[in-house]
Amino acid sequence: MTGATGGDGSRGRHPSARSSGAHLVGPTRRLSLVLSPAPGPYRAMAAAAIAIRGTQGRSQAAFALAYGLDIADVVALEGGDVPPDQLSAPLRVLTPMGHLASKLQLSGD
Amino acid sequence: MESKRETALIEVMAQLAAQDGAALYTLRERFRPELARAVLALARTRGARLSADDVDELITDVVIELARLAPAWDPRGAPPWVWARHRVASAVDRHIGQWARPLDEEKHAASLVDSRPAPGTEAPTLEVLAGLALHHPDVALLREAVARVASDRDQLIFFETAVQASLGDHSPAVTVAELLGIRPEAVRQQHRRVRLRVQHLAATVPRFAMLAALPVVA
Repeated sequence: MTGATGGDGSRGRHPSARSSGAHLVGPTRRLSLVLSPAPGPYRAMAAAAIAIRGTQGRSQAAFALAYGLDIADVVALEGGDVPPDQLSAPLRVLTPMGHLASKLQLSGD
Repeated sequence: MESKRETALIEVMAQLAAQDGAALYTLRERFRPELARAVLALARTRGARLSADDVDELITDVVIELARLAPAWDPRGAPPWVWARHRVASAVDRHIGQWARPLDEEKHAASLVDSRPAPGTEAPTLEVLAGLALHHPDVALLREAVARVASDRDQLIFFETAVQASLGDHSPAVTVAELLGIRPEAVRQQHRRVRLRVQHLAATVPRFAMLAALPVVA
């Protein structure tokens, strides 16, 4: 069987099957109001990173491991210290973090 | 012995207590069915119908409330949405309040002419139970168990029959049948079915186990 029918799960692996993160925009706007604001200047990136890590149910260490990062990278991301154009390739390609951050309009951004 | 789900809940509540903001999203995603059930059950007691968007929004509100209470939650007790049901109720009430129809001043004024209840007037049984459930965890648990296994009508039959029996009525099914306009046999049958289902729930779900000892269930 080929991937055309998706019987082998290929559809699920295709980039078009990846979530755009649109369903997280509302909850992230709401929940970011009750979290302490990130100390860094990129608050939308921080909020998106926290939302995606939380949705995956991962600790910072597990999240770093899953995407081949150091914990320090995750801490910097959630601290608002990473601009969108410096988002690491695995996170940019495999998660909707950049897209979600661009959709968020947080006070202080 | 804890199930995987219970372990996951304990972990996520511990993360919330440790102020990990990501755990807000984890609780929301992983325990959405339980949170939705808690919200919908509360809304039902208020006679409110919620859309999927309403439920989604309320789940987020409830998660925020539970995060605030996370350090005080005891994993040996009820799940947080049951333990903190007053907060769930407040969130639902705030939401319903926003969408309430505007007050009809004319009707309201007319209702004030003599709003005292007539002698012998009683609040509906389910309304009384809803009030009691806010203060007595046993009542809240019984209501939740019965709501799980019975339709609205059968819940009414079950509780009305129990109330009549507790008042000393020797033929509660006859009284309830007259109240609801159905046959006494149907009342007896539905009451028995609901009681057996709650007994089964008490025997299979640990947190409902204490219900087995209640006279209305035993």
